[in-house]
Amino acid sequence: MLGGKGRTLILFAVFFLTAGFAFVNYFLIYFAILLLFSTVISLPIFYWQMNVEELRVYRELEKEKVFKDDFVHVKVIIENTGRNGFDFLEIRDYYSPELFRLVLGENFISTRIGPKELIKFSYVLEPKVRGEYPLGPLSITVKDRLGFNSAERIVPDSVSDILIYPPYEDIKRIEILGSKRSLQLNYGIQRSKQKGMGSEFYGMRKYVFGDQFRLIDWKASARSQTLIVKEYESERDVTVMIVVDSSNSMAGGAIENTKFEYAIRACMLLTKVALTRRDNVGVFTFSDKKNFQFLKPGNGEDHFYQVLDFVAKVKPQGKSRIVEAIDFLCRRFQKRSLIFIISDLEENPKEVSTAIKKLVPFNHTIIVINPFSPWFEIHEIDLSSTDKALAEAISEEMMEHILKIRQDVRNVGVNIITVGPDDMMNQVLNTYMEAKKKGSAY
Amino acid sequence: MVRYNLLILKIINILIFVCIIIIFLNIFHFDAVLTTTEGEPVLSAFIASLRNIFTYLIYSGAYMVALGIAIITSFANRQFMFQFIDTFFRNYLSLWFNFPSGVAPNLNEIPDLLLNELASFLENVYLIAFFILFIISIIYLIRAFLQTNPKYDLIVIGSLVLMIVIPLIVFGFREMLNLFNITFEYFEGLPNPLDDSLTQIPIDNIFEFLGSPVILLAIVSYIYLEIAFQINYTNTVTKPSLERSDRLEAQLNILKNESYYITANVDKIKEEAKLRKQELEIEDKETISKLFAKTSERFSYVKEMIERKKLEEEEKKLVTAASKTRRLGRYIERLNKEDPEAYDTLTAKSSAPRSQSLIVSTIINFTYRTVLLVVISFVIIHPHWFFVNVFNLPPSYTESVAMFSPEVVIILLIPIMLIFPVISKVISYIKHRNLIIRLQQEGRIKEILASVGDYVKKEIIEEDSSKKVGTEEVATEVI
Repeated sequence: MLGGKGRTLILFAVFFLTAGFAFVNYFLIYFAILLLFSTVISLPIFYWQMNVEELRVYRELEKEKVFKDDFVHVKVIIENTGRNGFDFLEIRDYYSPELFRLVLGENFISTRIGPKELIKFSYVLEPKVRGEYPLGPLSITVKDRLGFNSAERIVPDSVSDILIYPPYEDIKRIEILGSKRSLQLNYGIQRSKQKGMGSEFYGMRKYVFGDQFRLIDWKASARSQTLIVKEYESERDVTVMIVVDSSNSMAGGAIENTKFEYAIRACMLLTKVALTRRDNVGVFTFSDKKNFQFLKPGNGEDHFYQVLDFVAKVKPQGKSRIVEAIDFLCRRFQKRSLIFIISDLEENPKEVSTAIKKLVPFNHTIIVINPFSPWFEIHEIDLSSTDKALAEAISEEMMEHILKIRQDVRNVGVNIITVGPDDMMNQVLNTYMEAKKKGSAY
Repeated sequence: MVRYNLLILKIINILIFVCIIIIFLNIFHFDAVLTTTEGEPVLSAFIASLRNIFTYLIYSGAYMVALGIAIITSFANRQFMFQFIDTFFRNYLSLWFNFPSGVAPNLNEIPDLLLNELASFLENVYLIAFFILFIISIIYLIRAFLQTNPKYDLIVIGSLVLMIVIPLIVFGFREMLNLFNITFEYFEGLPNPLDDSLTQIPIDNIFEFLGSPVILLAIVSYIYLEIAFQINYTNTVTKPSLERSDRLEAQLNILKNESYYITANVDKIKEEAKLRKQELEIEDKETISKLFAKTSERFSYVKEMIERKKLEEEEKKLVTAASKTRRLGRYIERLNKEDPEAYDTLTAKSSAPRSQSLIVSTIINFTYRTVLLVVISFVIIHPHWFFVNVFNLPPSYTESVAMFSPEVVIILLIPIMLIFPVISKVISYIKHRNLIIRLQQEGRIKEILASVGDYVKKEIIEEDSSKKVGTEEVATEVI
């Protein structure tokens, strides 16, 4: 195919040739002939030497699974296995700028490659959004050395999938906090405690009215001249089921900071903390009937990565069908557990309360975490006065809506905790700790 | 080394341009356009005619405005006013103007004088156009030397060619008008700077042919362009990798320093963020859930939160930027430890072509293209020999008037030109077929196609990926 420069020369040549004929001028005619032939004379050699199949172009990824706040080093290798060189080669590795940010290096190269030569170049990408996304394809443009002719090809099988986990920063923060303050007691291995139950000694405390007399440690009481009781902890595990709303409404706001992204981060944090405490964790994401995804509860470090893989692939899509979703969950899973429902609750209040009430007969402890939509969707710095007024009106309406749901479910003992992006992680963690302290869902 | 090669090539191209100018002056008589028909230098004549036109326009304009005002304002002594204006303009105001004849003209003489000056101006525009084109050519030659861009070289040659084309168009137009028995005095007085040799060339002997200034100018001009394209190629292939290397090295150094700075001053940055927070008057956060309980304060809370949201974005930027730089710095440090070739691949050091192979390939490519072009163009412009000796056409054809017209070159030009794309298509077809046969014989066409690279069109990939996306949209259950 004739390149841009080739086309320009042909245009010049045609003009000169016409002028040469019109004014009987041999300079123009001869110069036009030279220009015309200069564009096509290399064409047979270009095609003869263009053995693109002798070029092996492939991508090497440093890792195929990466956390959102991490970086990935992408290396592109070009190997000429043939006996002919390529005068002009352009290799471009495509990536979506909406999903990745190029932080170092360049994703293309213009070069020349000799026979049996190897060229490598690389660049560093930063994922912007959690999920499973393709990287590529690789494109090759071969040109003749003067740029008159060119051919573009896409390298087959040159699309690699990268699984982007939610950001690790929340977990890291907790890990750092744990190591700094020796919070292993709070966040480390700790079994569910039940007063008077279990066989493992937990600690001692002062007697309070209502404690069983058999728990009084008489020796310790004699020593301290006050009644002291012994506490034991049970060895029973709690099952934590995290139910995440993955409907379209959860995807509102800036792509990197949607309610859904925060919900996934909260889910990951909860999983990490619960697994550290040797609880079983299961995840259920729902929107419409096509998009019910269930991960069976499990425990251990491997299970954390299973949860990561599972949540990384979920995309917010479809309309929320909370009643059908809870029906599905009830059929699939009945064991008494601590259920966290993370949803913006933008459905009909009656449907929400019906769905929540369906869980009550199974004796679950239900906690509803409700990301407050307007707080997640105000991300523009310069809001006009109309935008502000709109935001205020929407916030008011949303508050009324949530209050209505709250009233409906209050009598079945379910609490709805409304959160903003700043306090969501803390609230989720505190609620979990509170529930554990209370000994919920044993 | 590569930069030296580029410099040498550019110097060679400037020398070729000097050759072009020497040959050009053989067929373009610059002395014919240096002076006007009155023997005045073109530039001063051009400025003088422009000055005279404006003098007449301003003088007559002012005169007419004054007369208009007199007509409107004077009712009784109109004749006196006209007399006064005429005396004032001719005896006093005319002293400010420099008329060609030396005296202030009457108002009724001005249109004729203006037309004469316009004719003189047009002649001067024709003559000065050659100067302007020549200056453009020199300016773009300098620009092409300083910045490698083949467009500049095209302008250099294009300006010179336009100096030949302009008189051809002007005199061609005059001849066309002559056919209709229309003559303009303006055209008759214009000088023709072109040599007669441009209309006829010696085509019976290749040496005489190549020695003629017309052909030599065309060939040397082409060589100039060819070298300009070769320079552009060398630059395009080498410059990105050299620049990339420099740029990346600078980036990595900055990142390293910044990263160390941030690590060392993390508390200071946090303190700055805190101060910024205080400046923006962001108070400690109150959780939204608490506010749900306070029905009376709800509205003011919403309002306040919306304002606060905006301010918080500002405050977060500082901490986020610092944290990202530190993370990237640590990441690059780790990457360099784990992958020893990471630095080289990021700067793409291995992609820079060797200068020796570049020089050799440039010389071979240039020689082969130029020699082949000259031979083919000679054949095309000399079809007579072919008609007599190869096609054995009778003299009634070979000696006809049409055979000696320039248009006869088309007879060989189009078929020979089309041979090249046809040959390349045949080569492409044969190569593709051979590849398919080879892979079929090996019996693993699909796998091998994928592994050795069956380079397919973009659309096929896009179709495949759209199908893939469609199948993914089903309910899944992970157990």
